[in-house]
Amino acid sequence: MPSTQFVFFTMFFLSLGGITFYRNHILSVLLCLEGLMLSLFLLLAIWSLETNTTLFMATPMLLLAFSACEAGLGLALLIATTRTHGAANLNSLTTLRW
Amino acid sequence: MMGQSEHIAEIIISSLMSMTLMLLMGILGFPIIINNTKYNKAIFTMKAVKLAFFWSLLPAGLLIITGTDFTINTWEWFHISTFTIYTSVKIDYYAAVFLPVALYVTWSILQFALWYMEKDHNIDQFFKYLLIFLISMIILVTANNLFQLFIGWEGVGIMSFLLISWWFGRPDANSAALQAVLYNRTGDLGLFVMMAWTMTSTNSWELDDIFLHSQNQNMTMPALALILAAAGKSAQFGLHPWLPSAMEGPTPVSALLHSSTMVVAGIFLLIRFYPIIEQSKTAMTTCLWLGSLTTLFTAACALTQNDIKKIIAFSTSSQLGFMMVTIGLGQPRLAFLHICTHAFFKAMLFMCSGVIIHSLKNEQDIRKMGGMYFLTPLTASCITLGSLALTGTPFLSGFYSKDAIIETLNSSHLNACALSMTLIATSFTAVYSLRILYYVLGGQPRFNSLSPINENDPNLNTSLMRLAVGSLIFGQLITMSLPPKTTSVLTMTLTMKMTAILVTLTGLTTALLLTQSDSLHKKLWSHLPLHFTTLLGFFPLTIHRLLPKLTLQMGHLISSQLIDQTWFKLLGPKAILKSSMSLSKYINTIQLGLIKLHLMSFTIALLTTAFIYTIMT
Amino acid sequence: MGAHLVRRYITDRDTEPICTDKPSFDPLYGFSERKEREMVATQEQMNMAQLPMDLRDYCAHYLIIFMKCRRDHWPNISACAHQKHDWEYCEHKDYVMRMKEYERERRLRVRKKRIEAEAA
Repeated sequence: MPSTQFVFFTMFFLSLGGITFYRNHILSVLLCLEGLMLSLFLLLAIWSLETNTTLFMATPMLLLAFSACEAGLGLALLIATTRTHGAANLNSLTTLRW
Repeated sequence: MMGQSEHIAEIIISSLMSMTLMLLMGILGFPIIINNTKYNKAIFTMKAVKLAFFWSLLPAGLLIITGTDFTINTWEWFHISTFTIYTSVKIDYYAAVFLPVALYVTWSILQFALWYMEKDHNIDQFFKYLLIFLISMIILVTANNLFQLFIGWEGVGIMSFLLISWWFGRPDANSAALQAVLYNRTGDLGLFVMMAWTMTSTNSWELDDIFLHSQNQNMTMPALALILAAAGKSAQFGLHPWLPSAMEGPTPVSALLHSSTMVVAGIFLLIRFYPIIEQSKTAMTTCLWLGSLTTLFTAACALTQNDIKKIIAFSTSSQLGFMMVTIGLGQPRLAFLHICTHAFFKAMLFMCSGVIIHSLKNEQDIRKMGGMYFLTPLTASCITLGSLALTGTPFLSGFYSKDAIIETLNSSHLNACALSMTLIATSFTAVYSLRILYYVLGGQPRFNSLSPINENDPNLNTSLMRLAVGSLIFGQLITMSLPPKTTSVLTMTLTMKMTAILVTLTGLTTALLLTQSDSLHKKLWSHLPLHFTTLLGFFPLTIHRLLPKLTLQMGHLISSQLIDQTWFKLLGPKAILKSSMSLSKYINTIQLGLIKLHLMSFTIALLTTAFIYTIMT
Repeated sequence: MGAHLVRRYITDRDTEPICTDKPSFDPLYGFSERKEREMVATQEQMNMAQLPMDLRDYCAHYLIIFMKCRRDHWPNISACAHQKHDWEYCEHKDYVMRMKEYERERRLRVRKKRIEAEAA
């Protein structure tokens, strides 16, 4: 596979790994999520340029808009967690436990 | 076949007899028509029994003169497929001699009860109960089939219950009546087994048919069932505690039921069914052993009781054991003779004790009586006479039966243990009789000074004298009047012949020596506790308390703990609960509820799939 | 016959006869001449007198006389003392004879045991 695509694929999977194997703070999850969105944005842009499909040339912008909303939502969740649980610690979200 | 003239003669004679009867009853009942009080009703009952006594002398006289006995077979009562139950009355030697005796004793007791229960408000009901009891006893004695006998048997049991609990406000009386009913019921099981056996084996409940069809069979089971029935009714060892407890009833009840009439019903049953019992060696041996054990044990218990009625009750029980020994020896006629003679002097002893109890303001403890010899001389004479007859003083009425039995016992080929136990019991008889006489009649008075000692009532005097006359001459009269049925043993050494008298005199002298001992003499058996005989061998304590407690505990264990709590709870729902709880507790320590772990597992699965996919293809 | 307990259980355990056994020796052994005793009352006489079965023994003739006397003299129950004594004396002789037979049996057994002990 071409090296730029290889780099961005690696970036995607690394960010995914960062979400799943994170430390305790929610903010690190949100940062990795941003990285995930960024890699997807760049991959979409390269792919539409490579294949010269003009239809999909606007999709990175779409993704960016949704990513921004999602970042805002993530920050709101961070603030809400801090308000209720005192700290934004992922180990304290235990409502699924009996 | 009867001809015309005999038919007419029969009709005339029977109508004349019924007319005389009705006339007599009318004359007797005249005071009631004038003055319908309860006391007059009681007097009427007594006079009716007196009349019945004189009528009952007719069949007895017929038997003595001509040796005739008869059976009346009236009608077929009902059928159960092929089994028929009749009403039939049998007046043979036993019934014909017992009926006058029972009626004589009942007449005297009813006359005594007119004095004893005079202040009772329900005296007519009391006499009614006694009369129903008497009727049941007559039904029992004259029954020719088992069904009629059973009717009489149950009747006397029920009336005994009602009469013992006459003063039903007393809890002791109620528990004593209940005890009587329960022990009698336990004995009734034997009678039921006998009825079932005869129903299936000989297809008839008539006595003649039973004796005919049971000649060559193995009779052990019905014989033992009959012995169980007799043990229940006649208070043999094992089913005996009801008899001393039955002294809670009024003294006329004790005198009639529990000395002369009801308790001999069991022995009477054995005498009636003697041809069945004699065919089984086991049954004869059981009679012997049971009887001698009863007589020894109850005589020993009588030695240490302090209530005068209980001493006489144990004496009754001892004499009943003696009658059972006689049946075990093979002498039903002697047992029957002892029943008849015993009725007289035992009823008289109870009546004298009733006089003393009433005179001392309901005091029944012999330790608080004394000196009655000078205060109630007629009663003292009668109680002495009764005790002498009981111990078998030569030529009083008790001698003819008791001495004959002991002679037969000595010269029979049987085990020596039963023999020695019976002889020891005979000596104990003398001891406790002397105990009664010493405490009640002798010494200085130990009761309150203002006791209403009064024996001047003619009802009381005549009834006591009547029974005293019976105690004196009845034995002689019966032995000489009636023809012998079996050869009596006449040949024995002088010692064997005098055994009964020697043994009695030994007991008497020992008791007299004991009366001379005072606190300064060294007590021989001071280390032996009296508790065994005073508490009746601990028999009522264990049987009435321990056995029901164990049984009820076992029942509680089975029903509540085993079934309810174990089978229905622990091995059903609670088991499921326990297993699933333990499993889920274990899993709960693993589950943390963190999203991180869910996401982690998803991602690892995804990456692994992708990795394998890219490697494999 | 009584139980003879000391002889039966302690001293002579193997030679004491039981009274319900039949005699085991020859009835004429040791006697020069002995007859079996005969009934005096016949079967028909006993049936006519309606004697109970237990009382039909070798003294039945005295009993029949006694009962006839009682029936004749009723209600005087003390009139037949002589006949009663006759019957009871006969019964007493019968009892004594049976006791003698028992004693004979016992002595013959003791003698037999002594002879066997000497022969051995």
